[in-house]
Amino acid sequence: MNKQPIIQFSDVSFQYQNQDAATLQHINLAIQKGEKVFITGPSGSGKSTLGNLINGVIPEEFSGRLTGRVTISGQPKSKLDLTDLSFVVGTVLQDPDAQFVGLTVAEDIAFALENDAKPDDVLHQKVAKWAQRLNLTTLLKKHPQDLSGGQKQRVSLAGVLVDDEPILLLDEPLANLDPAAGRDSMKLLNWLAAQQDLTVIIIDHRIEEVLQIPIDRMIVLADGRVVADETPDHILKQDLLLKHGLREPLYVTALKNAGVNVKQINHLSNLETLKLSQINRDRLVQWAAQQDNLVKKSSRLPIISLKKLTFGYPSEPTIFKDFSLTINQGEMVALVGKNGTGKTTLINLITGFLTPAGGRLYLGKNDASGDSVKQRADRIGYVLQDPNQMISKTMIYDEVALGLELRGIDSETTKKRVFETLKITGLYPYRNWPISALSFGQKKRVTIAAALVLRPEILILDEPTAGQDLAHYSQMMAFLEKLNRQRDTTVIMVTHDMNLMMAYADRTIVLDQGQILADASPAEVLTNSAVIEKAHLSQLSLQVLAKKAGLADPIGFAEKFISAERRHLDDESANLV
Amino acid sequence: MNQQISYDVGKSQENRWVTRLTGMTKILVLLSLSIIGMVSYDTWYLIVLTVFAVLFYQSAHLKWHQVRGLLYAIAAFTALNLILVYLFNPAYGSQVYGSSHILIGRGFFALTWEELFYLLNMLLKYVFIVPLILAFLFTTNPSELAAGMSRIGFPYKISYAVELSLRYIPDVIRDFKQISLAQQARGLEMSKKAGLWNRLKRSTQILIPLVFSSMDKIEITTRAMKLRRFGTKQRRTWYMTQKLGKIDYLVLVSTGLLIAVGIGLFWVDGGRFYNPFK
Amino acid sequence: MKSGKRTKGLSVEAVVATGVGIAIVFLLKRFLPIPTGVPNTTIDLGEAFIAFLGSVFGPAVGALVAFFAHLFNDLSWGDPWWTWIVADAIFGFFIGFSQRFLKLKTTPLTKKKLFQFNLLQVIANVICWGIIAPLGDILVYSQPAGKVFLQGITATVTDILSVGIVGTLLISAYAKTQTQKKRLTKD
Repeated sequence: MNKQPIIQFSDVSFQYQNQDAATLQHINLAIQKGEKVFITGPSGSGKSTLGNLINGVIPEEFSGRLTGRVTISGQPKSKLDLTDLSFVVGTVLQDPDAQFVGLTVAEDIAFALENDAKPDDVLHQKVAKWAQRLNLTTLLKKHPQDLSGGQKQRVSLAGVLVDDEPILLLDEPLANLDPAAGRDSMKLLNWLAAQQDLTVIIIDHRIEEVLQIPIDRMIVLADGRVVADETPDHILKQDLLLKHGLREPLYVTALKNAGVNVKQINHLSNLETLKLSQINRDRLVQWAAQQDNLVKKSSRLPIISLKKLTFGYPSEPTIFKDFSLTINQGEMVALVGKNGTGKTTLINLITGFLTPAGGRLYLGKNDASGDSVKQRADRIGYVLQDPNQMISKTMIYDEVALGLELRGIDSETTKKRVFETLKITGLYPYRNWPISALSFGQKKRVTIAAALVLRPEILILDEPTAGQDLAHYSQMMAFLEKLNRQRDTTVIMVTHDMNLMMAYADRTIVLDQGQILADASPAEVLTNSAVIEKAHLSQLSLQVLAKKAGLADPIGFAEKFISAERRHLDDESANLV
Repeated sequence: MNQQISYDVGKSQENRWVTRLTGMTKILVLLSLSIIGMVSYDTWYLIVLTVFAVLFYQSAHLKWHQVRGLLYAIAAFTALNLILVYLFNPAYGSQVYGSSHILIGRGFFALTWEELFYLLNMLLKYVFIVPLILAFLFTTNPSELAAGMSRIGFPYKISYAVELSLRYIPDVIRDFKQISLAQQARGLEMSKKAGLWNRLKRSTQILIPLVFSSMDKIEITTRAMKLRRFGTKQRRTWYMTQKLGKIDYLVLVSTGLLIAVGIGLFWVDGGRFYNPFK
Repeated sequence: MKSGKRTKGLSVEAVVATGVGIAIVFLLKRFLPIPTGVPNTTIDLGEAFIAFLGSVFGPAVGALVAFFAHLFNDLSWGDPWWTWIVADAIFGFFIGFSQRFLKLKTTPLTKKKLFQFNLLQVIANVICWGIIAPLGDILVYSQPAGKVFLQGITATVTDILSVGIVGTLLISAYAKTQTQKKRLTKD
């Protein structure tokens, strides 16, 4: 009796009312008290639905047909509604901005207690306690817009933990965080779990990042079914993740590629304590020796030149002072740096969204300092992170055609160019669909198409792959690469994703408080520990692995691995597009 | 939307008594004074209210550059209204006060003492509360407002909706700027010379993404609030509820007395108007 | 299977819609009035947004958004003008009844419904700005009739334009995202 699971699913299926197939099928699983469980799966695998069943969002917000038996904390779920469940399961949603409903940190932490009409002294006492525990005491009076992503997430945690629920459910806790903040956040979670004796359920598709802390069990979902329910070590030893379109930790793929028998490695999921035998080290060294060196692109003509740019927001200190930067035609540039360090400001200065106090901007050889946003847009396509902020039409065709129509292009030419762009972006089969029927990744692609239809020489993308699983991620990047290679389009990506930077960028620009902290190849940036620390980046697991193997040039190893991997993925996604 | 919306009470205001007033007191004072001032046409009374409002303004120690823009706008707005009132019916003052003493001019636009006095009253009605509101705008922590509203009897759900609106104003400004610029990049012409039809069309193009992203935001925030049990109880408590201090009682009692006097004057004056021409 | 712990008053969704709505409408009123070419007459896009929110969330949200957004806007100029604030709230309330026949979340939008919506908005605008607001100014503020009716009629016309053009477009765009019962095929 004492080993009764805190959450149990017995033969559970769920079908949303407006869908014609079940999203979850015959799910059986049991989660014990105090476990740290990691639920993962590609987009559409049903992992969010599973989370919504646990916290009661189903059936409160989505109706559908639920069969089988779900027991939470010893009670059948049918007897518990969202409110009852909220005392047992604390949920931290993906978007920390939406979760933050108070005007200040203190009010947001107090929110649930206020709703329970707890007396004043309890409110203040509990807020003080949790603020101290999560290191928020000095931030209590701050507004959400003054906080970093990591701080907002700590507020979200405090805001649900004030109830002392035994179960903590986190939906994509690593979205929107820079690598350093993500690592801190995982460590905090690990510490809290031990401290409060919590049962922790993490739902995410970033496997390498989540596995930075010890996880008791991984549950892998695919097409609504549980395809694995084992320890991370067990799962990593199989080829299950890649088979289901999920990215395994890169160092694991590297070991497998090098012919290391990972089945014999203990603690495979924990890179820090992982030990390599002499034979395995030799295998890695050998593998690296067989790989070709990466071919570097030679730099060409300057396409964007910023000369002595100066800018500061009104009544705030100057961010950029005499800032100069040149980007060459055909480069794929990654712009990285911690949150709030001026990356978006810099892009806005290039696109003309902001006007500098001094300095000049050249596009190619022309001085474009005086050009309007619209004029610059003919040469620079800019794609925001959130496609919802860009889409102003309801049909895909109209959305893509809009830029041409606003430029007075005749309808025959417009049609030709829109169709051509839709074909390049793989959206042609959907051209008559309403945009609301598309997935997030497809919407993003529509916004890229809408920029491309103007045939820009430069494409700037804010977090191009945010929120996309491996399959969609590779498709998107293969597509951008094709543009870059075939049309010589210069691509600038603002990103927190070190693997993406390493895999696709020719050049990395690290920005820190309006200064260029580093401007070098991704490999050079990732081997500079001072830069990594200062700009909140993180080393690749491949580098750590290479060091363990005793390789002289860890980053060279990482480079080789990634280029080999990319060729492989490109081939696959070429078939998908 | 270039104006920065700041939620922080300025440094120079921190220790003023008007800053120490609780949100509840401020709402009560503002509501009751603006309503009695709306109804009353007793000139002396309106002058007393103006002086009372100036006390708050004094306490706030606002800098000229903080209020300059607003004061110019209010002056222009008030002048326009007074001129309109006069142009439409220059004899209105005589109708109200039941007599006519011509000051200058003749015929339709003849300016009477009554009209001038009526316009003076109108002016007072437009401006008497301005100093008080300016003082409150710069000395109130927005977090206190919802708790204050709830305390004076607004249903907590409405109070919280107001709290959320204050929470979202900076986000909406940010979203709006992003959307507007993204649409300009698409080729949307933002020139000031565009005609009315084009202006409406282009604002629709900005409002539609704003609608879509707001509807998403509403859905997710609703879920987040339900997961933390908003709206499950008949009542709610507020972290920002504050104890009333001496200054609150003092201000509330003074305001109460002023309101009582204002109501009493309806009998003394035999109506809403104070008539010096009788 | 709905939660048993409902409390009286607004739903959580209505509270959030009101909060987000007040923020947006306030900003539209405060920072984006569109000049019409006639001096001192602007088109208030906030009214179009009030109409949109009312048509999706109903009379209570419409009225509350209009009331508080108008009040905030007046306060930000230093001067609340209660008769017009109340008239705006009544407009939000009336236009919210369009939710009953538009049923945007469940049924497709037809030309007939858009016509009904526009009929309602014209009537609501005429009643609120053409009658209630000026009468309020006459009765409460004792202003001369000619002046307040001129202001009232101007507001009636500009708001009918705002809701009729921008509001209608917002509703149509939103409706297209709501109902896609028919199966989509790639071709």
